Amino acid sequence: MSPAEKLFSVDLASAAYQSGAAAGRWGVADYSLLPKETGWPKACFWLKAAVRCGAPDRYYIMIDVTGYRSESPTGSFWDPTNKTMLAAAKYPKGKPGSRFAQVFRTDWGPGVSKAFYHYFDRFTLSSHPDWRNSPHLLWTERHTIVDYLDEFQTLLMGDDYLGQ
Amino acid sequence: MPIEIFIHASGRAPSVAAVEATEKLIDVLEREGIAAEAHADAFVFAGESTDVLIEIEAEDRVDATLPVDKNHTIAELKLGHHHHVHVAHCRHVKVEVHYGVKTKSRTVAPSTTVSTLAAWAHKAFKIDPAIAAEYVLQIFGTTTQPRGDTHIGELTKKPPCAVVFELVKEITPQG
Repeated sequence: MSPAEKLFSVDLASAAYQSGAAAGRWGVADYSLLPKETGWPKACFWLKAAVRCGAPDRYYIMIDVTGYRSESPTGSFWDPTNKTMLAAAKYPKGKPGSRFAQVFRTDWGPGVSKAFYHYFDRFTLSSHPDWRNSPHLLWTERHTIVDYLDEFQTLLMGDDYLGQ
Repeated sequence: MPIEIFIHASGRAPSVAAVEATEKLIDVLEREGIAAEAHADAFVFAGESTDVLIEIEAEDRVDATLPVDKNHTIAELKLGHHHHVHVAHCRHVKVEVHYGVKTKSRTVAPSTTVSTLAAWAHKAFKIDPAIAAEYVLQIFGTTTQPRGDTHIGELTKKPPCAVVFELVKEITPQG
């Protein structure tokens, strides 16, 4: 097991992660929802979403945690039925102009079905060098998978979330 | 059969402890590295306080949550699976929140979470519920925005038993 993988395991066992899981905010996706070859550095989680008519009660994300925690994760929504990244049409929708809509935007070509439009995503950050001018918003080695999950799960519970 | 509880204290990351119903809480804390001598006069709270959400406007209200006796057993304290315990030297924490030129304050139990305080601040400052989700608590004079599950008692020591926040709009990624 690499140091990064070991650190990731330690953080999944932390009180912060377990507390969120116990509260029903997130969890590790069941293996049956993943392609057989899925393994480190890929990780799949579900995030609880607020109740919205016709929308699922949870969304799945597939992330790549290579270099954890030195590097930030990168990833996006996962379709557990088709076992592929979620099609943009099925992304959770937010109020126009809201932070939610921007983070989960589907009009940013390079990132759709690949990466969230967020400072924590290393793929997105790599194409936005100006974001590094705001270091307090970026992922650091002190951040953990809990910060990542908390950020996106909190959005899915907010009033700006409209549904699927 | 053991259950798991979450233990919070100032200056350390929360921990998960496997406990038996018949164990005394003080023995659990000792095992978790919260030494009896250093915490002999500490207050122990069971659960997470939401008292601040009562009488939103009452700035002189003091959180009514009572500390528990750590010499009692897990069963006597009615601590269940995945319940939270908070060990603090502060009996209460004075919280002050600035929003623009306005300031609101409350005296809360250390076991109050930042997300509960944010919910209180949104109501106290009458933030439009339609946009409240984008306003978060940031420690005054810093760019630190503690996660919502953080207990306020983890953010201060005795003294000062106080935390000052700003209510700020979260920055939306642009580019």
